[in-house]
Amino acid sequence: MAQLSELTFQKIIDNLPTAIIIVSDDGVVRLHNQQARVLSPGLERGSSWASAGMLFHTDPEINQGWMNLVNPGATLEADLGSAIWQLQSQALNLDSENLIQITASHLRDRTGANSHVDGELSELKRSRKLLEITQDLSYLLEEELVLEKSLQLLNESFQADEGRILLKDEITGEFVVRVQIEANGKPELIEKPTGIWPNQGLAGWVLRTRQATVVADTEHDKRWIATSDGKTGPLRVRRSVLAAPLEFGHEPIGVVMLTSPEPNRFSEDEFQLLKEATGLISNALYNAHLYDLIRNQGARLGGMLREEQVNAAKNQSILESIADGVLVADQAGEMVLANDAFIDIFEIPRWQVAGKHVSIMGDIVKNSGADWLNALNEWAKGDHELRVGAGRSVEDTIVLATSDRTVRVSLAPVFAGGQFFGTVSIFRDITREIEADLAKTSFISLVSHELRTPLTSIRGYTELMLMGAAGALPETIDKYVKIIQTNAKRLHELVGDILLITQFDSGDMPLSLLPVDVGSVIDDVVNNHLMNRINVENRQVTLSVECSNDLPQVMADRGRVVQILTNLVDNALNYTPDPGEVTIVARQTGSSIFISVRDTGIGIAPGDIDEVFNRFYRSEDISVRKVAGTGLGLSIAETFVEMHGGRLTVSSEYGVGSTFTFNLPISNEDMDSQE
Amino acid sequence: MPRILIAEDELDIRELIKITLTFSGFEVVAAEDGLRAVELAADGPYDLIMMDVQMPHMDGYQACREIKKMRELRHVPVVFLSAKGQSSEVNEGLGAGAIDYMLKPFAPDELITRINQILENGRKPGQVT
Repeated sequence: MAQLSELTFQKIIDNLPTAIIIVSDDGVVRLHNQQARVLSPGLERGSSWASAGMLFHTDPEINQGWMNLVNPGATLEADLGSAIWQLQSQALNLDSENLIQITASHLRDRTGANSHVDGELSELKRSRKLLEITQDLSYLLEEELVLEKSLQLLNESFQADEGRILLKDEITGEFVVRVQIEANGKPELIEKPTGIWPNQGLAGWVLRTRQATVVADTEHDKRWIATSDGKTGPLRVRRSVLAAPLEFGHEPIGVVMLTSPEPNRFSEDEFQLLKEATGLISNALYNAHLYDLIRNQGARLGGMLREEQVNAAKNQSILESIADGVLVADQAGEMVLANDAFIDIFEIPRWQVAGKHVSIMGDIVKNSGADWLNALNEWAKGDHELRVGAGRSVEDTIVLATSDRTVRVSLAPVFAGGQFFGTVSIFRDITREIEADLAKTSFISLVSHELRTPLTSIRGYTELMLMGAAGALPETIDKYVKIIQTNAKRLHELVGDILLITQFDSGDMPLSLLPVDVGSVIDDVVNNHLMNRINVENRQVTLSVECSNDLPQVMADRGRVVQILTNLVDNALNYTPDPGEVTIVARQTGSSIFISVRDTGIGIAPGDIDEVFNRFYRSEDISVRKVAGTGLGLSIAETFVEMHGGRLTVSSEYGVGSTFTFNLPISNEDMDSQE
Repeated sequence: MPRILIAEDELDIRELIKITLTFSGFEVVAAEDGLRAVELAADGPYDLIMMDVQMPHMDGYQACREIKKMRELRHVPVVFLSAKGQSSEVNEGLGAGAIDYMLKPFAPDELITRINQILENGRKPGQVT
């Protein structure tokens, strides 16, 4: 019967407009129809299929392939459910129609042969019963409901006192009572092991031989083993037994057993009915089993899809809610996501970028952000292996011509498990920061200018008096005016230093790099500045310079190098008491010239040495405080050195002296000529 | 005696420069803004013109460009003496045709030294000091 049902099933699915393939969990094609072969010509039973489980093509109009039906989860589940339900109903109905036809033809034959009316009547009654069973079972898709209904229908038909369906446990093989009907006539779903295995008892015999049997009296049948229903309960009297196997294909899965305490309870007709009915029940169970498989598979796929949709929606909403603009391009350079902030910053409609290729960004940012555009387009081209590792992230600034906005962008490729997925660009509108910076710079520049104008008069007229432009000054006045002069100079230097620092901070400090002769810079600072100071201040400081004439030139801004060295020698002179020594040394090491200024001064206290390059830092040391200063000189010198790519370092012994050393890169021309 | 035209809107500073230069032996003509400086320059001759940048009516850059446009004045060295010291400001001054750009406040002796250097070097553009 099960064999017939599979053939029928095949016939039905062949007649359906839908392409169907059924694949078992181990990935082997179990069943498919004509339409499936049209779509996938190489398909054969027993061949392997890429994805295990069952796949249905639900729309004959599309005919694009199997995976089309893997649409949003909920639909898939519903489609699969209704498809198998429909199939099962059709299969069962067809089976029962066949049976009726066969029975009817038997009936005609027998009527023609003038046979026994009772037999005909009972056969007709049996067919009616089978049709009833078929129709009742064809609506049931769950194993438990099929079991329950089957036993109920059988019990009604046979008026048996007891009925049981035993299924073989899939793992242990032991018979388990799954449903039973006792005296009250109501089926009861249970899960009760019997202690009987397929090699034992009547049930074992039915299962092994796959034959139905009728036992007139159990007392005379050796196959029968009496079992108790409870461990302590009395043995039930079961004299008559009707038993038939339940099968999936050729595999027996269990036994239907109807019993009565009376012997000789069941007739030959009832035996025939049971044999045919168990075929139908097997079929219904098999369909329920298939439905269960499909439903689980559908639920699993649907669940996976839903989970992915939820994750995608979550990620999308995270990206949408970021305050920075986000633009995501896939591995082919298609822009798959642009969040609201991106749209706000660029002031363009979303359709202008969504789904487009990254190459159109060039028209949007115009003549700006070349590094970013370049990286964006390069990543979209492929050859990702070449880029793995080095210089993946790119930072750039875009000035949007349409809105005058300044946007900081950083781009990074996305890799997972060595696979390239695309690029993510993050945009931050820094227009306000830039405006604030400009405002700060112009404010300080204005203030400096306004401070310098009155300083010009104070310093200038003081100098005029000291030059004797107003006649010779009395000694006391001369002394006071000199104090004014010193402090005016200090104020002047402070204003100059503050302006310099403002320029560092705003980046308004371009270097004009040219080959520079370090020896000439040292000469310049010594002769035009240091010697003047020593003479004017009447200092007892011995000055020596160690600088060979054949040193290569450095690549530097000469004016700035003069400033660095001036700051260092001024410090040396300021903090070296008479009599003392200041030594300037220049020598080449590698591709740099190192210039040192060494003094025999007061040195730097160990607690101060890490602070000396900090802006406005001045030691608490009384010998330092005696000297006028702003605390800016070393900080400025350090900044200038670093702008040249060098470093300014200090070593000092407190009370003995200090050495400041900085290096400048040798100019390429000179490097080449040395090689 | 070298003749120098100065342009400076601040009275105190104009006087300061005038006294400094006169004391050092120069003949000085002073203008109080850029426009007046251009007018006076045309009445020359001058050996050197020294101007502030920020002045009413016409700023120093513009005045310098006007002077450099006049054929008979083109060779006269122009020097800025300004409190504006950012590199962009210095570059604009040199771009207008000045030979030097000095910063306020100035030390009178340094000012005289620089002027003498420029006059000695003749009237060809030299390195910015």
